[in-house]
Amino acid sequence: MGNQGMGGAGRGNQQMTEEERRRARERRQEEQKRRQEAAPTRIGRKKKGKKGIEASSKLPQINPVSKCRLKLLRTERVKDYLLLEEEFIKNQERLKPQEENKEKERLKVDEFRGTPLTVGTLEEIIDDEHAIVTPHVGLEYYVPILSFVDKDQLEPGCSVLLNHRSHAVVGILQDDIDPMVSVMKVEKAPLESYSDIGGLEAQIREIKEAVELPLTNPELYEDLGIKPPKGVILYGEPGTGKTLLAKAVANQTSATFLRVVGSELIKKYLGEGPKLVREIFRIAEEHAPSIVFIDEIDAIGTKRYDSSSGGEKEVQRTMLELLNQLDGFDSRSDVKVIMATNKIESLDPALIRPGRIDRKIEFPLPDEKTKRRIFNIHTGKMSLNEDVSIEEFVMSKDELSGADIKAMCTEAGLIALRERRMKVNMSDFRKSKDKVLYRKKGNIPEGLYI
Amino acid sequence: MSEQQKKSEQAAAGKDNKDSADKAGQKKKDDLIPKEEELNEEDKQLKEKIEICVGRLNDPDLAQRKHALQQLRQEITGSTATMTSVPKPLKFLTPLYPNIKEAHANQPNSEFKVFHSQLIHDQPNFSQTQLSDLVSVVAMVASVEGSFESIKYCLEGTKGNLIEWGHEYLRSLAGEIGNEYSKRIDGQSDSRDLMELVDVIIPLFMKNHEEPEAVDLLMEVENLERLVKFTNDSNYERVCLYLLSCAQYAADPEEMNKAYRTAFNIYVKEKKYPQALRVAQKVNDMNMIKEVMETTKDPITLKQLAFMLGRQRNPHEASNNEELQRIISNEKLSEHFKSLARDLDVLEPKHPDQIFKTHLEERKTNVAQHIDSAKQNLAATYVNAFVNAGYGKDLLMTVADTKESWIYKNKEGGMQAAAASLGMILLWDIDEGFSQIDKYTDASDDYIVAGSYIALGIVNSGIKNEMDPVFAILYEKLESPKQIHKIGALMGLSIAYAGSARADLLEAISPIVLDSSNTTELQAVAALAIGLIYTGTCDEDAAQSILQTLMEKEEKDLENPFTRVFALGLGLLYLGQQDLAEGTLLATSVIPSKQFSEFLSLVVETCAFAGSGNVLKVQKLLHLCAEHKKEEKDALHQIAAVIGLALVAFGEDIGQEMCLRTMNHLLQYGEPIIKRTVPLAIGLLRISNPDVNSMDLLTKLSYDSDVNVSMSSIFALGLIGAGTNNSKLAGNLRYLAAYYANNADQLFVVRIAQGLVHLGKGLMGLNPLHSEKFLFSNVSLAGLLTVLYAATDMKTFINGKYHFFLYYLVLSIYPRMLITLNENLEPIQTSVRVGNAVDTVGAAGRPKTITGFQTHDTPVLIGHGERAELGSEEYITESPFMENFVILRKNPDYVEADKDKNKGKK
Repeated sequence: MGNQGMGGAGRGNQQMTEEERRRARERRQEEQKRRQEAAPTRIGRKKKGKKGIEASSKLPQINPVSKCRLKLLRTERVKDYLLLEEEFIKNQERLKPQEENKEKERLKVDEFRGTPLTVGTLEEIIDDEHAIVTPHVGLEYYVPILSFVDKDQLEPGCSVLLNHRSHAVVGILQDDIDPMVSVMKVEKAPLESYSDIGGLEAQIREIKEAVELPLTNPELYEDLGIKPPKGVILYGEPGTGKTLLAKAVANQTSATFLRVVGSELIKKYLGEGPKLVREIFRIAEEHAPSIVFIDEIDAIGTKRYDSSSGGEKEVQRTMLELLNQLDGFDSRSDVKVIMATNKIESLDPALIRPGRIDRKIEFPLPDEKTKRRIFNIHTGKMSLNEDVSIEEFVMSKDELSGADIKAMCTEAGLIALRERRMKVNMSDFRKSKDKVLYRKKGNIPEGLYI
Repeated sequence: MSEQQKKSEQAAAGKDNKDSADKAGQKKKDDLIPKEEELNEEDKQLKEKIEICVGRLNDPDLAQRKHALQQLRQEITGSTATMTSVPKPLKFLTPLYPNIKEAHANQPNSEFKVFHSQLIHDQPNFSQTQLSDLVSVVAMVASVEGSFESIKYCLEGTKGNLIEWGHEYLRSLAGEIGNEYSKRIDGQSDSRDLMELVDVIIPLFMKNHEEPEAVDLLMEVENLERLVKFTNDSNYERVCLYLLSCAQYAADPEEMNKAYRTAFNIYVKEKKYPQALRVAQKVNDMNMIKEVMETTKDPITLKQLAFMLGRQRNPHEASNNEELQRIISNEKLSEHFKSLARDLDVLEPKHPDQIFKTHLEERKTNVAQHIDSAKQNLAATYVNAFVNAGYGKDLLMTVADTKESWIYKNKEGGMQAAAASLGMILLWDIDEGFSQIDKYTDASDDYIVAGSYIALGIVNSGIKNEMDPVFAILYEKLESPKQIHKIGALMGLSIAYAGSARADLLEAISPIVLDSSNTTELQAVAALAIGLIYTGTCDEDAAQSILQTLMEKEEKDLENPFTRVFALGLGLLYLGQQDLAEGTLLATSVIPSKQFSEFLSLVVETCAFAGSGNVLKVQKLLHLCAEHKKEEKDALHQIAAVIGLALVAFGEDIGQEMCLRTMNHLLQYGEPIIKRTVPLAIGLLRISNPDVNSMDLLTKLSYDSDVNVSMSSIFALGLIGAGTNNSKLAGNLRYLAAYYANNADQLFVVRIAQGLVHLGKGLMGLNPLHSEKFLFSNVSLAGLLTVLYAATDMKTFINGKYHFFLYYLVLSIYPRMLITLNENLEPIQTSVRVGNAVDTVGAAGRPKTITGFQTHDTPVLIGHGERAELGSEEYITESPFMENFVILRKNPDYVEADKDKNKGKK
């Protein structure tokens, strides 16, 4: 029933299109009698970036960047003009409402388009009004392009909307964003904040200076005449808080935070990985100011070497794209990159050269003071027996990372639970420490957890 | 500004542990969370120490107090470890702020005042004033917003060593001074103590390369005059640059004048006379110009100044110095231009067909060729005139007398245009010009005679000659019985003497305007002549004669298209003079026809506010453009409004950009008459500057179905590309030529546009702005405006009998060159870098002034938005503005690089 109705409507549209087209043809002929040639249309000049109308509506850039009266005055001048424009347009809309007209035109266009629409690929443009399209693989049609289609944006190979019957080109599909990327955007801030980090004050300060401050107060750098760093790499032993710090940044910042894991960028098909990288940075720029956090960068960022494996090559190509995005031809000022790895020595030197990654922040194993703070953070929420003195562990010479300490505390708690106590006492901690250290050092190669 | 600064302080403060913008929210948070938990040992110690110190401030023992204060000072000034957050000591002091205030209030007052007078800074003593400093600093972070406690305590303090508290404190203080000052002005209380503080702060800013802050502060307290004494040879440049940029946006003319004057005084103090002269020219104050010319003693600098005066066409009389006078009167312009052409190898004359490149046009076979040969010849005449302007040679007019001279291949108006085109070709070359034109002045044909009169004027455009030959010849022709001769003579005189404000000319011309037995056309041209000669002078008599004539006109006569020329003549008298036009504006309302009086008052008003960027005027004009009249007749004033929009925004970058945006809206909503004028307005905004977006827009409009829209767009295309040889534009125009092959009118305009694009074979421009877009020449703008208004009625002027109005463009034609001269004014070659100009106002350090440069040998061409600088250290420039003529001196410290190398080898 519904289908029939749709079909009927479609046919109706079809007829109108026919009629319209005939009329249009007549009009055209008249026109051509008057003039030999129509205004030259330029097809396939797909514009990169924003040009044309969009560019003309761009606001002028305001110098200087630093805070001063001149900047205020200039900004106010722009504002004044914008207010005038607003006033003008409002008046005009009141006098001569365009909304209605637009609505009408919209309806008309929809009528021509017909429903349902199909999607095809534009193969070739024959002349101003005709093109060859393939709605399905293997089928090719010679079809008209309707006049309301923006021919500036047509170019061979792009996706077009087709009328489902006549296959006439009725619209253009914009390249859309890989849904993968939108998943990467951190919508819900993680719970960890700076106060959950024990120690690492120098690291926090460095990351703030390099990542947050340029986004919130760019003029500080301008005043001094330096370019803010583009990105930072966090490196250090496992469990020293690299990811934790990144989470804290995400928690604090009001900038868009995109998080990616290096391994996500490795794709099955050729060219997919680099494309994803491009897309990530495009999104980042669209939502600027933004921070891109790439965890475990060594998944794609290892040193290049001659390799015969196609997969390996593809991974390297993905990294090359990343190199280009970090410091390529067009610079992005308000996209900051944070990378994290625990194998900085295996990374490609090109990836971490100054200019791409300006700051390398080391995360060392915690020293005594830091250990104490980490212990305090973790034991702060536990119910402890009076005999517990963390000093013993703090002073011990064992190499404990932040994650180890956390594991110790949890383990101690578990031991206490096992013994049906609601308080953790010193012996629990001792046992748990042995356990953690045994697991860490034991017969198992270092760096592996069970 | 103060608000902005506050924000910066807040932001800095907000970058505490929680980096959030909302300071208030942050404070609450801090209060809620017990701090002790987060603090590490060191912080705890520090906090305790500070708490103890604050407690001791109330100690009865003087020594204790002294010691405590000393400790606090050290802590605050010594804490520099972090830049992302408020220093720890300050942070801990914040909650104790009330305690400190209390301690301050409790200090025994009187006894320390005596103490204070003996105070020496490097041996700090305890006193209330010292404590005041501390309170002031803490108040920056802790006080409630808007309470101005920081400034209050600072005024009570020592006012010494402010810098040691850090630059953030200084900035916040500057912001509060501004607020406090305006509060006191409102309350009409004395602000002398504030000024004292300002005098302390300004040198600190200057020392720290924060000149913008210093200027801002002085502007805020309305005391710019003080600036002069704080400048020296290391900072005057940045100060003045900033000041001049700010001046453009001043709220009222008085403030603007003050800023310009201050900059002028600084330049004079630093003996930078070219810069000072530039400011004087901007203010258009003859006394200031005179002052510069008289204080300058160095003969070479004087010559440079003379060149600058000549470019701007300032009527300055350098008495008793003939050489200078010759420079000012641009006598050598032709010679230099030809040598430029020789260097660039473009002396070879070009035939119009080489411009049209018809063989490249795509032509359909069945197009009727040669639709109207007269019109085509006319187009060729104009194109020939524009392309070969100033070269002295061409392939149509100046070829050795063959039997069939080009002039006689034309009819009537065509002959006139052809005769006048001779003037264009021989532009600026007086001797050659007169001898060649002379033979036509006595020709039998009236049109040729009239054309030759125009030619005489054109040759003399912008050149002053002692003999005053144009005046001598054309003055008596004003009495000629034939109207066409009169019009020719008037045009000649107005072009030759534009901007000169010569009283004898007014005397001769105003009777023609007033004589009601003359035709409207003649009267209009005469009125325009007065307007051009008296451009921007606000001369009473001149204005009266035009106004009176208009008042006597009947309503019917006022519908004549020539009345817009009348209006323009009146408007030009007030070009750029802003409020001085008010009296005349009132008088315009007397004119019987309502729509014409509206048009007239708008023309006068927009001319008066030309280049001012006045947003209120823009608003008014936009309101007018928003009207929708039923009859086109009633909408005449909208023409003036649209061109006026461009005119008001002209010359100031941001306004210009925003105005272009507005033009887009006008196109979208406006009535046809507005749509017709918008392209012309864009042409004015982008004159000789073919930027891609405007070019695309105009190209699109040039195919519009409305004939008038398309014609004005095509003409505007010519204007934006004038003298650039832009190949994309030339290609577009060729398309248009093929497209309109069958439309004589449009084709003619396309041809003219093609000629304009190749103006002077790409060596000239029409832009009235010069000297790094800082100055605009009134005369040049007036010429441009005349043609624009003529182009609003293509049917009458450009496509009609009065096409020779196009020759008014000659007033804006100037070579876009950089020629370097030595001390004896002989051209020398040196390498210069030419690149895109960068706005370096308020930028830190020594930023590059140009980007993407290329190195050339002089003479070179400078395009729109480009800037040049010397490529080597061999010479020193007399003027920092590398445009037009620049005199170079040998650098005494220069050592040739090659010699150095050789020495090294030996």
